[in-house]
Amino acid sequence: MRKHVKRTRAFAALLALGAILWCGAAFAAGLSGLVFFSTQFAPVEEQAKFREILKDGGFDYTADSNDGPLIDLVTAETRAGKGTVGLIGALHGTFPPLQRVNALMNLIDLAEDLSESREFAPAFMQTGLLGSEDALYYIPWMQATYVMAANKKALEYLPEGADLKTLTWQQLADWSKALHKGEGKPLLGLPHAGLFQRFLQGYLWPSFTGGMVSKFRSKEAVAMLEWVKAELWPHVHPESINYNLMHEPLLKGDVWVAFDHTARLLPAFNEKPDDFVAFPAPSGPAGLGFMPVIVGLGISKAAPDAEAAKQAIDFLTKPGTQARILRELGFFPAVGGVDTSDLPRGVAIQMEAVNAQANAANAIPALLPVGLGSRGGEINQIFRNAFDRTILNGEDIGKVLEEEAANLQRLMDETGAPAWPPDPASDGPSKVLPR
Amino acid sequence: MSIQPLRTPKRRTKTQWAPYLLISPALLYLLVFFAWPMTQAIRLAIWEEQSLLSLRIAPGEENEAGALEQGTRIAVLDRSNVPLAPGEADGGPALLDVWFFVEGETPGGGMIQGWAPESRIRVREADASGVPVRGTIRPRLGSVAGQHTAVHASPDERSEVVGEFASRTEVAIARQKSLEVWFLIEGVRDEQRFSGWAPSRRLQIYGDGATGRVDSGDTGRFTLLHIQRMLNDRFFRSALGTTFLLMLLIIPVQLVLAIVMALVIQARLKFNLLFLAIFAIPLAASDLAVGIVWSSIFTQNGYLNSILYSLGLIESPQAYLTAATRHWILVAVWIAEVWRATSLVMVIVVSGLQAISQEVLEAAELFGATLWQRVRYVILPLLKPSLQVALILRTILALQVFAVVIALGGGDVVTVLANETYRQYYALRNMNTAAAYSGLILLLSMISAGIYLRTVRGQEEAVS
Repeated sequence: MRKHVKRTRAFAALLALGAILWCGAAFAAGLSGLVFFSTQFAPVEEQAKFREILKDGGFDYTADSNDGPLIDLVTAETRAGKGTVGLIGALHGTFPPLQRVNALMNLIDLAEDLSESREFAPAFMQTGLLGSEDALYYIPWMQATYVMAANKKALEYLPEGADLKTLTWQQLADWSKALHKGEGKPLLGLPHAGLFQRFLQGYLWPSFTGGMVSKFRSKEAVAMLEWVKAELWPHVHPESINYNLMHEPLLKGDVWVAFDHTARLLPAFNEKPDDFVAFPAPSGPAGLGFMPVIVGLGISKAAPDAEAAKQAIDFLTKPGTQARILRELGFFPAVGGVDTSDLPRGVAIQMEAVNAQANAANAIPALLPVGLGSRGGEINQIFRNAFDRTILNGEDIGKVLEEEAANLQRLMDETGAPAWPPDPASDGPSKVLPR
Repeated sequence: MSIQPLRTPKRRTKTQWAPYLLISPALLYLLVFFAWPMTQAIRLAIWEEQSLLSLRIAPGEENEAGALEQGTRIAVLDRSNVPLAPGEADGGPALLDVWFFVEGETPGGGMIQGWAPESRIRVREADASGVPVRGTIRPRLGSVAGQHTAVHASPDERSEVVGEFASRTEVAIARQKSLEVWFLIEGVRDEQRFSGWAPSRRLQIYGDGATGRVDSGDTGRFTLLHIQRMLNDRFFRSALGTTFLLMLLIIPVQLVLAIVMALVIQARLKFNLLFLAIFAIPLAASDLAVGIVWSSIFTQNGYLNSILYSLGLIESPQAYLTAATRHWILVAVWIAEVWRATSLVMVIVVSGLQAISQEVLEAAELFGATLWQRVRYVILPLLKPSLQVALILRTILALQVFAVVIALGGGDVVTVLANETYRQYYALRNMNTAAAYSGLILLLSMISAGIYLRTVRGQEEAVS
């Protein structure tokens, strides 16, 4: 495991981000002095809305969607012993690298106190432990997931007997084929230049094989890739290799059916709620694989004012604030007791699909990889390689899966990451089962 | 009287210090902001931090008993607690930092005293100097919720358990001890078995407690690992090939275009300044903006298809920027780059043209040289110094082509060296391989600059 803090990089990162944060902090200091660095709500439209919500609590925040600079800055500040960043709001995967360098405060006491006035989802508290038993590295803040969206014009091409709420992958492929034939061009869109790795890790592999790492090169995975190549990809819009946020091609009418993160589909539902429907991801032979995304709040050990950070966490996890975030930004709450009546149409459309997905009888929750620390990007690359080499470059499926499985196993061994759902628990590093 | 020949007295040349003093701030600037970061970046590519873990003869001691490489599988033979040395924060989380000697009531009703780990106790009250005096037992979360906390006879997990406390029991804290667990481990390196003691913060012990791996070392060493990783990367060959292909396609075309444009400017036609302004517009556009503009032209519903369709040349919109039509992505990148960067070369050539004296050109005209002969035999040779500058500059920038490729192709289907540097840094968080890629770009830039300096010699240099 390589450390990412070198003095010059720390120096340069501190200088650059210190300058940015000083401006943000100088502005925020007018409100509370707390420096809240978040990797969520970075797009400009979301920033304005979230700032409004934060103002009610007397807080402000700085946003940057890349967690790299955040990790570098907090690590450097921890080494220096004092810093500027107080509160960190980031995806689950940002916290393990910070845990590795002892940069996070243990929030287990705060969680105990807060649990007296609100109910945190137990599954998310568990993930906040990051594998430890006694140290809570983040308090769950919000959750999101990936669903599918369809233009109502596409519904007439749905195959016989197919119900949008309980589609299978085969039905999705048949639907896309009918769309292609009927309209003369492929109209299914996938975010290949965006969060495509989550599609592969959380939806495709678990639905067909029942696992993520363990079944990476299984017979079912080979069959799945052959099926994708023959029956799904020909009907996927080829410019998907350039698609990052799927609401853009959906609104332009370039694609009529799309898969993406709820936050990246929301602008389409908000702008034209009468034109689109949301539905859960399809299920495959092994079940309905889906990936819940958890966003957490952590406090840096080098924070200048931990008390203000704790107050901010209290404010952000109050059911009232969680309801506002749900209404205005489309991120779903991590606490119980949130009022879900009177939601804007865009969010309400998605809420149904999200619930249907999570509560399906054959749902297989596939979590984001845990325990890979700062090497989380490599597992994304491995799954992308498996797809790109076979589907885009036409290499032999069996051979590619064997080669990438070797890379995957090496990654697991070198990081020692134990298996996570949907794979069965392992003693020691996660194992890629032989075919 | 004899006339003495004039003899200039020998003057010892005094070393002039003044110029060096005057440029020393610039040298300092170069050192701090250029040389130092460069050497650190190159170091990143050939140095592996925490590569080796030194094993000690006894826990907490300095004497070495060998070393193991990071990532080695180990067998755990024994363990011991060692007081944590002050200021040691390196490595991963250490096992069991602090133990409290506590006294409290068991669920059974009796009072017991013993050692419990600090992680199990929430400090509720501390004295004036911050030393904890009272606390409660923390409740457990997750899969071990509801379990009681064991109390030991000495600050060691293996020592005898004297009792247990339920969650939220109130305890009095008498004293505390900071300890780190050290493990006696055994592993193989270079086909030799080594065993010794290592601190837990450098190790990762698996659930069974009997096996684990070396998580981080404490010494670094030179390594070719990162460069090898770069060379074996699945994208390396195509990135290198695409970058060179783009260079070969773009630079000659740009050179010719720039010379033509510069000659047009030099001809001082009517509306000369207007031509100059139009030619120089792309200079102001960022390369990402250019990429986005050209992607809107080449996209399936874009301007190119609209024009071709309205001219009747195609029946339905063609898809250009797809994985199945990679050559089109390259063509689009070529066109976008030629459009964007020619003005840079043109500006340099224009300034070079202005240095050619009018008399030479008039003399050539008088001797009956045609336009083409004038260009070939008079202008081009005299332009060589500025062509050299333009070529060096353009080649170095071409090696860094990045935003246009991403905007047009997404970065996975068609990739270049700069994109690989970005992927290694941003997606894979691998600073070392990213440094290797950028070192490669640097090396190629230096080689190409050297080639140009040697081959594109000016008139005077060639003669001398």
